[in-house]
Amino acid sequence: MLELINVTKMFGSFTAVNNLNLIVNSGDFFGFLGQNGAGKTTTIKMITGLYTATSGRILIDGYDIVKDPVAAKSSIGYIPDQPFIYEKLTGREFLYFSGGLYSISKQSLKNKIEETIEVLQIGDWVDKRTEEYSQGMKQRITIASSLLHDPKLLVVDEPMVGLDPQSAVIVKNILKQKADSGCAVFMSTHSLNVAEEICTRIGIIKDGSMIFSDTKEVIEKIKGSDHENLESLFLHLTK
Amino acid sequence: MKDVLHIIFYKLLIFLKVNSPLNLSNTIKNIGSGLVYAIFAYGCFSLTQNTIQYLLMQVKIGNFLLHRFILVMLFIFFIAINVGNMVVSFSTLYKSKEVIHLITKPISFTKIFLIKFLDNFFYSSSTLLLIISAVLIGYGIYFNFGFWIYPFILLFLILPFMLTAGSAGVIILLIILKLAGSWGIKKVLSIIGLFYTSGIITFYFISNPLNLVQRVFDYYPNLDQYFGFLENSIISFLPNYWVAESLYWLSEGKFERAFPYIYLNILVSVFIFSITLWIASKWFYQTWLTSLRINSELKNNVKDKNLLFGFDKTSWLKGFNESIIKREFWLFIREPNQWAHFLVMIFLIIVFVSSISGIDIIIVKAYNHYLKTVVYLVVTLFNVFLVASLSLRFVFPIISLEGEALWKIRSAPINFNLLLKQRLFIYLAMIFLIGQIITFFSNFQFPLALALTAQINAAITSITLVSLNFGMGGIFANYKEKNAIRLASSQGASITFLFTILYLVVLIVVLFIPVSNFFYSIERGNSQPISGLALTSIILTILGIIVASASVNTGLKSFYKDV
Repeated sequence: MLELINVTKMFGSFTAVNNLNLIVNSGDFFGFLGQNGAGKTTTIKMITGLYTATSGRILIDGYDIVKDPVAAKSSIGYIPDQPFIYEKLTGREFLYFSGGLYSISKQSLKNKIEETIEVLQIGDWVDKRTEEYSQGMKQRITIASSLLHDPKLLVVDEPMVGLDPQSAVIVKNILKQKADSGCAVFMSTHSLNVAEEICTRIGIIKDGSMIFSDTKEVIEKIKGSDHENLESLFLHLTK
Repeated sequence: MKDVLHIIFYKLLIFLKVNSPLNLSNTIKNIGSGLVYAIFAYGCFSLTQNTIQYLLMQVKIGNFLLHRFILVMLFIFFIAINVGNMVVSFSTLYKSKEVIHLITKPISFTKIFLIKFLDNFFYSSSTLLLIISAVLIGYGIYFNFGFWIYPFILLFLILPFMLTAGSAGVIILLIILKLAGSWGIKKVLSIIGLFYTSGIITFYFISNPLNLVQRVFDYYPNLDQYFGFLENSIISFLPNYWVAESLYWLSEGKFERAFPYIYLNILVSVFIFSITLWIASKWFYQTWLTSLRINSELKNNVKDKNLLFGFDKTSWLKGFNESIIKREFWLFIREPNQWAHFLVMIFLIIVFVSSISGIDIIIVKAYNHYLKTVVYLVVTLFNVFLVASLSLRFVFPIISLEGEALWKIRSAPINFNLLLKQRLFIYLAMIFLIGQIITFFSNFQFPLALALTAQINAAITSITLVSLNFGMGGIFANYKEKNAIRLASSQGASITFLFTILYLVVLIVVLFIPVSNFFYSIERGNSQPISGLALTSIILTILGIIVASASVNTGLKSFYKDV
């Protein structure tokens, strides 16, 4: 579903992402870990078309994000780390706006919005303007907006920031359900316990290069032998 | 005062720091900007000098009428600064995060107000000062002013004049918010708006520039004398009159006659600025709290459901077009900065169009074809200037206003070129229509061929200037700035404005000879040559195609940058 082939991103002489190779299949829940400035958000921005890679290719459902951006983006649901949304629109209006970008028919969109509002439990304030929302509320509206078109690939950047414990549980469950139903999830996070709990594969990036990538089972084995938990393994690898 | 200086020092530091990395592209951009400023300054200087020479030597309107023309320009200038400060100050004083930050620190409210007022005043006046300086040099060289006079006029005439206009604007804003606390914002805005409009209309009635021109021309050809006795004495209480009178007497070499007006101008400026600070010391914090309360009340009273053009309603628009157009519409309607400024500009346009309705007096009674040419060109200039102002204010910020929510658009499966062209088309249609309406109402009294040329040229100009602003807005895109007014007064906007002025110069140069020949033929009773007029439209069309295609392509490309 998602394939990164020799992807490099440079800002001037600084290499933010260095020759990254990765495949995320349908149903995979890929946890993308790394320290601040390691290249996580840059990678995500390249996957979603916000940055153009300096070299290499990114394929989404077989479509190249640079050569065939419209087809590639049709399959992506993107949840950014900073949930900036139009302050003068209500949450519901933002959902209609977002759905319209994916050319969903009005009736299907209406039904999907109602369904998403129900699942994310945002009905109490979805008709208020988003300028009144807290960070967590904005995050939930952003998540809702990314699910309307039933994406084949969910790209999630730090989903738990600003969420209260109840909301965090809802979001975790939704992401897990999406992966279980065959959607590929690519999630960057600093919450190692969340990654440990819900991811099926984990990759660690350091200074722009992938230094570790394997399945949860392998990680469990490594943990069992040398490290007591993922945090200890992470600290060891990123030292 | 130490803390004020401390904050100003750091604000200056931020201003002086290069806000973009030092690379080849940015260096070229900065050199290019500097070059544009320099060319523009020279253009202003040269245009002023030649215009004055033309008006005094060819048209022979006399020094008095020239300075009455300056008086009217100064009035427009005063209103522009006054309204501009009112609108921008509302954002900087009441909605700025910096104010919220400073309010939590042990700094007095008056000092916070002072810092933001000066910040606002100098930020939005820098381009104006550049234009004025260049115009002043052109003006001064014509009248053989000594070197010392330039800084003198700038410091003791222009700056106090601008300070008076800016301070008065902020006083009105403070009064609006003070009264809004008890009367409600809508009622207060209506009342103040009504007073303000009445004030402007009264000025036109009292000064009646068209009538004055007619009365002065009764003395033709002896126009080189002082005709102050023909004026309504009430206008002598206005700051633009003091500045115009000072300039008149300085140009006549009679400093002693100018001095009382210069003194009065400074005195009133200091007085009004002190009054502003005094009122701010009493009301700023209180009105700041009021603005929060009003904002919160307005938000609570918002009923966004079941709207006629609502997102949930089915419309004839399809796919993402519907999303984009509805978003554009609602973000504009719900952002007071946008619609309030739009209404103010429409109001100024109406004032202009209604005041120009008396132009037939000038056309019929103009004493020579030079004056008729000047009248036609001035009307054209005003029309294009209004279109340029609307373009700068509403089109330049288009790309930047995609804002920090840009991720949603950029990660969506849509054709960005189509999206931006659609957005551009919405504003182009609006400005094109306004341009055509004001051109029609301000030109219908001219001969048909001229009126038609004006209409065609206005259409070409609208497309050219809207495209130019779109492209420049893309080059200088700033997705972090939410305030459209600040975007429209940023460095990029200033450079765009300078390009616009250059375009205006080209327009006048292209139009001058054909229009002058046309009026000359009328004067001689010959058949009027229209091929020259047609040629102006052809030249402007070619220029328009070059500017528009280059600008639109640049604007579209800028959207594909990393964000």
